[in-house]
This record gives sequence, structure tokens and C-alpha cells, in this order.
Amino acid sequence: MSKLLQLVAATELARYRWTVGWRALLASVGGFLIANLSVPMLVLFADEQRALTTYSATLFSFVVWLLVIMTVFSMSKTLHATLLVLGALLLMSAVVLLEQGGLLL
Amino acid sequence: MKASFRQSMTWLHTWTGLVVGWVLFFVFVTGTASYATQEITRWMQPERPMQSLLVPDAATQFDMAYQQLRSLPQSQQAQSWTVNLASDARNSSALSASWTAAPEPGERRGPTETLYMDTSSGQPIELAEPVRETAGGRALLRMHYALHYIPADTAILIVGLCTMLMLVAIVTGVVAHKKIIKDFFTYRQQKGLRSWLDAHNLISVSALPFYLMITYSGLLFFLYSYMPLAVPLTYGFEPENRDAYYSELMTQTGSGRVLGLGGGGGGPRQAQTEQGGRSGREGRSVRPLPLGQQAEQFTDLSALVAQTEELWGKGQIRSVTITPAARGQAAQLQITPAYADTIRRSRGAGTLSFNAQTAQAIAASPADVAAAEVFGSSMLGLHEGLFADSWLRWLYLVSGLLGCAMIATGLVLWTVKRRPKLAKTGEYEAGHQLVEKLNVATIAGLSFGLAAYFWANRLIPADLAGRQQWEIHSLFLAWGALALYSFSRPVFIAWRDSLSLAAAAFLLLPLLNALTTERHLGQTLWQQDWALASVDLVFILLGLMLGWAAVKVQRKLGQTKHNTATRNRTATVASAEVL
Repeated sequence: MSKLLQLVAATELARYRWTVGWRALLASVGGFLIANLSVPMLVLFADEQRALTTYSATLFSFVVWLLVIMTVFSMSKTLHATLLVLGALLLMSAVVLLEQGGLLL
Repeated sequence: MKASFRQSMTWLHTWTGLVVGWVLFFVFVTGTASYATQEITRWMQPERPMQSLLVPDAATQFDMAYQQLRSLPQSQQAQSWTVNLASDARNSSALSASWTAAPEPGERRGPTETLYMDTSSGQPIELAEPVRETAGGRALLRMHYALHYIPADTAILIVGLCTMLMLVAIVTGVVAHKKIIKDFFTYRQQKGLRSWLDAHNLISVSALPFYLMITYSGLLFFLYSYMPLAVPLTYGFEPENRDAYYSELMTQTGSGRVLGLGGGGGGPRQAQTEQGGRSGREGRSVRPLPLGQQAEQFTDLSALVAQTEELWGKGQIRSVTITPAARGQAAQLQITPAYADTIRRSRGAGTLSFNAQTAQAIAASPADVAAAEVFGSSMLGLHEGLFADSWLRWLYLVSGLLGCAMIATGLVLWTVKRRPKLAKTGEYEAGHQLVEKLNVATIAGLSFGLAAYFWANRLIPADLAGRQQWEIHSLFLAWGALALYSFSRPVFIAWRDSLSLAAAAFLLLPLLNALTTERHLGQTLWQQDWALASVDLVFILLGLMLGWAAVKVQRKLGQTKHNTATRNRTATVASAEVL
């Protein structure tokens, strides 16, 4: 019985650690990419002074990264955090790709 | 992650803080020292003259130095002459004349020679010994973002990542609080964990805006290295796309340079050449007249200096620079104020320029700068604090020290919180042990290493070649040795011994200074050279603080011993009863 409990506890702990590791990956790599992608996204709204908007957006991108990290670790379900980050990444890349292909606007 | 948002944020605060705490402690300690870069360098070059007691007006001082520059044979061919006046400006306690030679091919700047002068007689001061080479305050400044012994590019990325996590730790630390104001006014003494927590809160909240500013602005120094995809994703991945962005940005900001590339805030080399066209190499073919000969046709320069002093006030001129006519530009006289009139990081802000032949003022370029650039450069300016006068500089130092204390108390808090639980279950985890030992090795060890840096400056022979590198090696050798010791001893004993050693090293520094140089407290205080004296005084203060911590640990050790002794005695009594 106690052996079984130990095993359960061990897998529980292992599971928890994997979750933490996965979220750390989402927050660091995912957050980094989202922060970088936020720059061309914001520049989409700039009619003129593109360089200045790029600069300002880059200054702001650290805040974006910060928000992603905090969001990933505050969501109760890991699956939700995963979907959110991957979804945002997909959407943002699609917009940037379309824009660069001249298909948007 | 956890049940509530606040709990999740507390968890995130704990772990981000722990992971990067040690690197950040190093960054904060060396960074705080960098607010005194010039003062530290001056302390490390005891051969330099002390504060002049009698300071004549700017024009008189300028005349004394200018005459030397015109008459010395070795300064005639120079590319520029600079007179640093004894003034209210930082690091400006003595009058000096210096001349910079043309750069060797492949070098960016030519060598500069300096002559110190007596402000009362106008005669050059014969230094008893040549000024020693030293790594000085600049080495600490560089270490705080580029570390040491590893390639700078890698180091900058490591420090950047830690800075980003620091930002996370600060913001989550604030968010995790229920009542931040009340916590700020709370300190419960002698309560173990609670006291550590209260101390950590108090220290953290007291300079919170400073930490936020310093962390965020720290990221902006290497903006494009930390967000490497931002510009390529917008402008394209080719090098020419990048250059297009830089030149577009310089036009749109109106500042003519690009921030966020690290270093001195200069533009990318190629883009800047296109803009300014003054990088030099092409213009070398027409040799201008040497400065010494051109000076024969200069107007009465000291009248211009006097006029400027009237405008700015006494002691408000830091330096006067003279550059020869070259490449179609007239010979210039540039007068730099003691303090720039802006917090923005901008070279030559407030400098007045005159045509050296006609005495005509040369209008500065209009300062019509875009808001984003003002924000960015203000952040960098706030981070460096070069605009700060001496009072504000002290505030910067105190805030920096509080930052070190915030990190140190945070790291210790982590171990204190987990100690009782581990003691109860009897398993003293390897991970916990490692954190405890790394804490001693970093917090006490680096303090000792820093003291060793200054000891090395006084003990390594002043004329030894490559002594700068040995000063830096001494820092890391002393640190490493104490770290090894900390790892080999029980935690509390390691704390006590390392803290005591670091305290002694700092407390004895003024004594060592008195034994090895003529620039000790007895001299500096008597001559009212406050800047130089304050370095020794801060050493004493640091020594006292470290010593206080050592005494605290010793008391704790005494208590624990007492407790164990009592427990053992009761155990013996109990076993005797059983028998």
C-alpha cells in the first residue's frame, strides 16, 4: 500500500515537474517569439514614420514578453496556456507573412 | 499554475528570483560601484594630485594651461588640446592640460598626454612618480554588463536574459502583494522567517521605482541584440535592410544616431559615415596646419571663457577643448558645462562652440527630437546617471546598494523558508544545500573579491607591466578561494568566517592606503578632497555593514549551539531515567 502511495506521489511530482518545464518553455521561447513578432504587428498600424514605430514597438516588446510570461504561469490549465501561446504565434506569423507577401492591406 | 493568481505570481517571483539571483547580485554590485567609476579610478591612481585649495576663476586657469599647451614642444602637433578646469564638476578637482595625438592607422583615437598644474602658481606639478596603470572603475563598469573571462557577446546575452527575468521578478513581486503600503511600514524583529520577509519587502519597496527603471533601461542598451528578430521581421533579413532601417530611423528621430546597439551610443559604423561623413580616412590626404601654428591666429580665447563663466556661474565650466581647422571646418573652441542640462544620454549636451579665429558662436544643431527617442535616450541617461550632481550620485549609490541588499535578502529568504521543513523531515536536500552554499559564496565571496581588487591595486608594484589584468585576476582569485572555503564548511560557519574576512578586508583598506600612499584619510580630509576621502569612508562603511552581519551570524551560531547543548542534556537525562 505504502509502495503504491509512493509510486503515485512520485509520478505526481514528475508530472508537476514536466508541467513546470513545459510552461517555462512556453514562457521563454514562446514569449520571446511573440515579443519579436509584436514589432511587425504594431508597425502594420503605422502609415508613416515606419522606422520610429519599429523602434517604439521594440522598446515595448519587452513588456509584451513580460505579459506572456505572467499569463503562461497564471493560467490554471496548462493546456489553455499552450493553446493560447501557440495560437497567438500562429496568428501573428500568418499576419506577418501575409503582410510581407503583399497580400494584406 | 497555482490555485490563485496571487499564488502563481508568488511562485513565479520565487523561482525567477532564485535562478538569476547570483548573476544579478554580481551585476548589481559591480553596477553600483560604477556610479563611482571616476572616483574609484582616482583612488586607484594615488599619484594624481589632490584637490586644489585655491581655485582662481576660469579664465585665469585657462590661461595658465593654454600657455603650457602653446609652448610645450610635444603638444604642437596634437589633434586637439583640452583644458580640464578645477571646477564643481565631477572628477574635476585639479587643473590639467592634455593633448591628443593623431590616431595610428587602425586605431580610433590617438594617445593622450596630461600635464597637471598648480592653480596658484600656474606651474606644472612634477609628479613624484608616474601615474600607475589601473583597471580602475572602468573594469567594474564593463564587468557589470560584459562579465569577464567569457566572450563579451555571450556575456551580454546572459546578462540580458537575467535582466529580463529580473523584470519578471520585480513585477510579480509587486503583484503578489496584498497590501504593499502596509508591508512597507512593517518590520518584525527577531522573528526568523518573518523578519527576513519584512526586511526583503522593506528594502524592495523603498527603491522600487529605481529597480524598475534600472532593469528596464538595462535591456535597452542592447535592444537589438535582445530582440534580434524585431527589425528583420519588419524590414527584412538582409544586412542592407538593417542599414536602411538605421538610416531611416536617424532621419525620423532627428538625433543622428542609433541607440540600443551597446557601447557609447554611437551609430552603426557604416550608417554613421553616410550621415556625418566625418569618419576621416578619405580626408587624410590634405594635411592641415599643426595646431601649434594655427594657434598664432586665434582670437583672445580666455575672453570667451570668461564670458561663458559669467553666463553659467563660477565653477560651472568643466573643460575647454580646442580643435584645429581641418577639412573645411574652422578651428573651434568648445566649452563644456559641469553638468549637462538634460538627463538624456546625449554627448556634448549644453556645450558651447566658438570659431577660434573670429570668436563667432557656432550654433548647435536644433534639438528637435522625436518623442520615442527622447524616451529611449532618457532611459539610458537615467540608467547611467551621468547627469547627476554629487547629492543625486549618493542617492544612486544608496539605491544601488539597496538593490544588492534586495537580491541578497531574497536569496537568503529562500533558504530560511525551506529550512524548518527540511529539518523536520530530516532530509537535507542536495538542492537546498547548494543554494545555501552558493549564497555564501556569492554574497560574502564577491564582497571579499571586491576588497581584494583594491588591495591588489595598492600591493602590486606600480610599474609592473600588465598590472591592470592582475588587479582583475585578484578579484576573481580571492572570490574563488573564499567560495571554495564556503563549500567546504557548514553553512553558518562559512557565513560567519566569510563575512568576517570581507569586513576585515574593507576595514583595513584605509589603513593599507595610509601605509602605501600619501592619499590617505589624514591627507584627503585635511585637504578637503571630499571625493577622494569618500572612497575610503565608503570602504569603512561597507566593512562595518559586513561586520554587523558577521556578528549577527555569530549570535545565531551561539544560540544554535546552546539549543543543541540543552537538547543533548535533556536527552541524557531522559535516557538516564529510562535506565
